[in-house]
Amino acid sequence: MEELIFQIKELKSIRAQRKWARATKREILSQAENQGFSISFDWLRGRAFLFIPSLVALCLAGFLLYNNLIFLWDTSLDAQALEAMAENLKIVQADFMKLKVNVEAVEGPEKMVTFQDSMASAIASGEELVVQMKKAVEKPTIERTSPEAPEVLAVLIEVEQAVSETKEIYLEKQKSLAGQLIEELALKSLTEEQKGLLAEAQEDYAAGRFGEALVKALELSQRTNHSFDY
Amino acid sequence: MQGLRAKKKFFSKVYDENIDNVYRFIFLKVGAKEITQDLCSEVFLRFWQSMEAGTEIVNSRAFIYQIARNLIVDHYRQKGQEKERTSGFPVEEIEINGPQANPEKQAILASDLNEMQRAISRIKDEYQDVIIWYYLDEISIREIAQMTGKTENNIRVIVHRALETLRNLLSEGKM
Repeated sequence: MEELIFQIKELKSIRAQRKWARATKREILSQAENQGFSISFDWLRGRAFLFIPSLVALCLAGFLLYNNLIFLWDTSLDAQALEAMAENLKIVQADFMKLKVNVEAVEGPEKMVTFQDSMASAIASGEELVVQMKKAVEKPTIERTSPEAPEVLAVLIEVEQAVSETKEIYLEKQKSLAGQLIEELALKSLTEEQKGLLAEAQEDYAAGRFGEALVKALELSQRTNHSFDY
Repeated sequence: MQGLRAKKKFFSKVYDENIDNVYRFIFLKVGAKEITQDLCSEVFLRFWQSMEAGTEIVNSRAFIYQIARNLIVDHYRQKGQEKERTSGFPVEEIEINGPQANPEKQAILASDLNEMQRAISRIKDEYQDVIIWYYLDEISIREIAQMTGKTENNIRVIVHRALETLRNLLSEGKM
């Protein structure tokens, strides 16, 4: 019987793959993060696109921390760490691609304004991530000792592309909504105070500060009970 | 009501403590790696959702195993099939430390494990559960009794019978 028990205990060799286990936990906790994020956006409950920035931010926080450690230690990364890094970067890239699609689907200035803080934060984090990670991966010690470094760099370039495309579409959408709303408001009869606000919005728009222009135009729109047709 | 951060911390701890055991529990019952991974993810997702829903969880491990057992039953019900192994033990996943760690030894061990896995999969669910919990997860008889709602003596009898059944199966070469 003892031999049988010994044989049974050999089955302890069965374990979940580390990489899979880590990814699964991360995914479940990311979903949890997203659920928390949704609480402050009642009107968007169930609309996945607003959740993405928090997901991206979550990934980025981990990356930046990891990246700082690389600099502190000033050492080369082992193959496993670089492989994990490439895998995580692919997740960030996929998040940005989703974000891009979701930005395109945003309808109306109200939603855009609610969305834009998270968007700006996600894009800024994405850009910072690309800059910092490039510095880290291109370090001579890492390039020389790690054959996986070029792969990380290749994924990083794809992330950079995704961040750039997302930013472009986001700014275009912001510009379009702000421009349309300002044009409509300019046709209305406004009080002096309202005209002042419209002028500020127009000034921001002309200076390329589309987010600020949109916020001001939306405020004016609400004050004048303007119904925006989009 | 716990904050999100505290919940995540608790979940993370429970996950780390149980992931390998739950994975092994499911793998020994369903055999295929992909299905095991799917079911295992679902177990922990449901555990999280239960936490979120405010379900009172007295014993996390017992709760997780209960979800796993239900999911395995559902899996076979949906498939409308008898329990059947779809793949063997993946050699590359066996972790061996020390002097045994060479491909030949690994293959021999994989073969032994396959035989044992098939044998365990052929005994009844109740026997499988106690064998896995007692000998692999090293859960005490007392806790197994609490998990299953049976008496400690009852569990001891089940362990004994499970071993007998397993030994007979292996000696008769019925795998």
